[in-house]
Amino acid sequence: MKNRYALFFSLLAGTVLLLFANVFVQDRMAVIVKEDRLVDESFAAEGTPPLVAFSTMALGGFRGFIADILWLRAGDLQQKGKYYELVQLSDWILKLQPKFSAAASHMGWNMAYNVSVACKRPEDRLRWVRRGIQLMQDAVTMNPNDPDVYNQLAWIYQHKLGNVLDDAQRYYKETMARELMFLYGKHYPDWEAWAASPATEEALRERFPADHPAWLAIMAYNQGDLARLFGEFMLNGELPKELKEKLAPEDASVLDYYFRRKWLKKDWNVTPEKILEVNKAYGELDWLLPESFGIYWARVGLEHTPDRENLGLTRLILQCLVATFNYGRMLLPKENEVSSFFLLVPNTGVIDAARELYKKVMNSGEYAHAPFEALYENFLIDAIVTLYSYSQKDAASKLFQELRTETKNVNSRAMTLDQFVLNEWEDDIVSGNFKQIGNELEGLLFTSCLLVGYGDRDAAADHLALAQRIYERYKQQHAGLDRVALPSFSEMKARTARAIIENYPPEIANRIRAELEEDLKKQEQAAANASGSAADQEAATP
Amino acid sequence: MTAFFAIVKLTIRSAVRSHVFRLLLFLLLLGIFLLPFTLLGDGTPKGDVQIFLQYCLGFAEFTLCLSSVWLACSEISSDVETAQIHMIVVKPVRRAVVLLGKYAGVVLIHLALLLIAAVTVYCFLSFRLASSDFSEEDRMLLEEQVLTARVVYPPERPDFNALAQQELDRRIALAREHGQDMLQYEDNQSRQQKFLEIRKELIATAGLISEDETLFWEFKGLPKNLTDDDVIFMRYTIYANRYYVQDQNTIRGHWIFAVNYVRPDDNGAETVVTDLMALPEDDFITATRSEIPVPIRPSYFIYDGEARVGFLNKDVRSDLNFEEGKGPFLMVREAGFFSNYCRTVLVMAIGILSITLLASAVAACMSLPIAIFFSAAYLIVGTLAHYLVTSIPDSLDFQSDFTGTFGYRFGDLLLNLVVPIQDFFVTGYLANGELVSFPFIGILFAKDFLLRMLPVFLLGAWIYTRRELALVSKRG
Repeated sequence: MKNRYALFFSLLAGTVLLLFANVFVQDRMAVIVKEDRLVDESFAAEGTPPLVAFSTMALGGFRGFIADILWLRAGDLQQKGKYYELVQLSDWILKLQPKFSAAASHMGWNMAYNVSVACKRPEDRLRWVRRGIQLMQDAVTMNPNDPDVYNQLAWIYQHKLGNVLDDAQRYYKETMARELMFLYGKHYPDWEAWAASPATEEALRERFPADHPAWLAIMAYNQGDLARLFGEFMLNGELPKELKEKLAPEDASVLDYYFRRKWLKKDWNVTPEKILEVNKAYGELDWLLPESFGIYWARVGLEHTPDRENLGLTRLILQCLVATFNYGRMLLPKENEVSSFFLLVPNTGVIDAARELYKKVMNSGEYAHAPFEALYENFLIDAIVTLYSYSQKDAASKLFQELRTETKNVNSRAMTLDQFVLNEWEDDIVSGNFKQIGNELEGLLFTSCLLVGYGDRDAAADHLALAQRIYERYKQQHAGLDRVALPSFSEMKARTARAIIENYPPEIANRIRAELEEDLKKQEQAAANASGSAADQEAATP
Repeated sequence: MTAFFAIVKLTIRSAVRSHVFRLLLFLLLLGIFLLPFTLLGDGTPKGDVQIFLQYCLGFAEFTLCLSSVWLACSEISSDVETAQIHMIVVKPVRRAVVLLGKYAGVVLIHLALLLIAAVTVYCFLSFRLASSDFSEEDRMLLEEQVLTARVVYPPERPDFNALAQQELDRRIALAREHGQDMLQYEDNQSRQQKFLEIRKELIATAGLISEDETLFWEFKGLPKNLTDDDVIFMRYTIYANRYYVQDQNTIRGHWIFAVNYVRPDDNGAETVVTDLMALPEDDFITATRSEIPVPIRPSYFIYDGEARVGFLNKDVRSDLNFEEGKGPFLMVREAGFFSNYCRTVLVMAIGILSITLLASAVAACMSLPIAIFFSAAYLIVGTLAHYLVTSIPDSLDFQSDFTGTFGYRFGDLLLNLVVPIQDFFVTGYLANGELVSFPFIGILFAKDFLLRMLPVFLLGAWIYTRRELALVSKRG
């Protein structure tokens, strides 16, 4: 009996001792939890979402079991092609297991990729991509410190919507741009003004107190029902005229920005402050394009990781920046009006950010390895050629110096900038066949003509000059070989211009016609002569 | 009979007084009214209606099943435990009549609730359809694929047993001819194993189409009375390369349909000329179930209840495979949506009848908590057995995968012993516009209600008549 008492008291003493020892480590643990973001700040600040709290409390350990059953059902239904339940099942699984981010990532990816391609109509495809994005945004809310969910979300924007791998990719871009343009009101909004506008209803009420003329105008309009006014705003894309007329211009713009930022948060879950931050960090982005949102989410993810370091997210930002550099600016036939004739051109404003990020990645011991160096070199080469083709020879020259000094590229050391750019094109000419070169030239001419159509004359002239040089070089190399002879340069140019004029809207066609009138006339003349001589020949034939 | 009706009446009255029953009833009503506003469909009118039908009716059925288990158990067991049964058994009423009366009372009240739930859901749906401004295309899609009752016709299936036997005989003859080792064909067991291997191989390759080859499927027994306004749908899943490959790829090919023209011949008699009509070459996503309308009028497509469909593989990269049992299927409208809705409700009613039968039988011989636990366990085991069997992939190799085989066999065994509750959940058919046919309902009734639940009930009734009720009451 005595022994049992001794054992009991020893254990009790041990427990008390351990509890006391806890005092010494508790503070350190609290600091680690805070610094390494081991708790969900959003949950701590806003509380757990009601449905999640309910399912956690009510179902306890059975949550996992039910989630498993739902998961099996979702898989089974998908195999049977019954997709209509997938959204509901995924939503329930996420609510039952909010911390199982890998499951959420899989479900989001599955909807955006696997289910979307099962649909024929582009609008159906986009609907599923959006469902995937929505689910990932919910997962971000539930797991604000998990880099994987940000990674998946940013990936869907960059790869599914931004890349060209899906047949419906132009439809995705056009629809997204159309909706965003309607929301922004113009192509390049004043993000600083947006960020300075009231973010909440309370802030708006502070700005417009009860006796403020703007608030009195709103009261007169609909008894101060901001929710209804917001509904009307989203429907029309602007304040109702009746109200706008009664507001002072600066008050109208405050109200306008307030509604727009609220709308942006509601539909796209992004804030103008963060957009501004992204723009400052990486250069002015075109926020009609998916890559910009990819950068946004990857950056937000990085901010939530300890030490702001994550290989996956850093790579994704780089990937988005490279994509933005290549085709990160949307040219529209009519200003502030999205149409299916949009043209994606390089956004050279992100070059510095991309370079810096490359360097950062290469210099940080953790990620430094050869593929990044090769990628960096390739990026520099592409950047030089692009800048050169878009009338930015000074910037191209600066990068050329960098290529010479900071990489192992041999060609750049032995050539001038002009030679180097032409050599890059020449590589294709030497290695390419007749058809490939024809396509390359047509591509350059097409871009040049389109740039004329979209009003960027300098870039158009540079593209044309490059095309001419490549044409001449090809002609020299294949002199005397009729079999692989190209038509005359002006004929190629006129043919391309005519194709665009016939297929593009009048705004673009008229600009091209005005600019290339001479060439077009010549081509028409040449065509008439050719058909005339053919007819003569035919008539002379017995 | 008066006694029987009196017990029924008493059971219903007692049921209405039960708190748990009231809670379940409240949940049922709440669910039916709230679910439509909280469900997340895929965003298309078709998907929204499908999920509405599936979940609202499914929820009603599930709640009613739970409620019927609870009520049957409590009405029968608690009467014994609280000794109230003595008030009845001292009267000249047979115990079987008491049990039957209680069963009928529970069933009646649940059937009435089922009717209310079904009418409410139907009215909700009608209101929703009437008040929505769907586009013409969406409405047509809805009417052709959801608000209808279509029969699924599979293609004629080769006789794989005969083909396998033929192939086995050929191989044996060939081996004999070449003086090869006959060990593998020596005894019956080896021959049977070889036969199964060949059969499996034949099934796996029956739908294989190489590049530039066409495979045709014959359909028989199709309805002959279709008008040209009827649209026939075809459902299929194409797989790339080999059997059981689930990768999604884009492949190219054509669908080809046989078109039948009736023309007079030289003698003036009518002859049928069959021509082939190919749809334009198109992209197809593999491992994805698709549904397309047959682009030919039924009178040209179906002749004498028969039709022919083919697929031409134009994909240079891989062979294609139409796996056995995954189409193509032809789907022909057989009845209207309302008729199918009523049939679905009928199946739900059979479910309630069966589950109440089980719960009554169990409650007749056990105490309330054990009866509820047993009934719930029965239903859960049935549900899990169903999942166990359906979650095993088709590609399971029964010879090498021990755990998979064990799981499959175990689930299969359980499914033969217990009735899975999923059998009575046919709202998926309704939501997909597939006919819940009367033969199907009949088989379900015979198999689950008559052959599996009724014997359990009779056993329970026999124990009930033999049970020493006074002893239980005394102990309680």
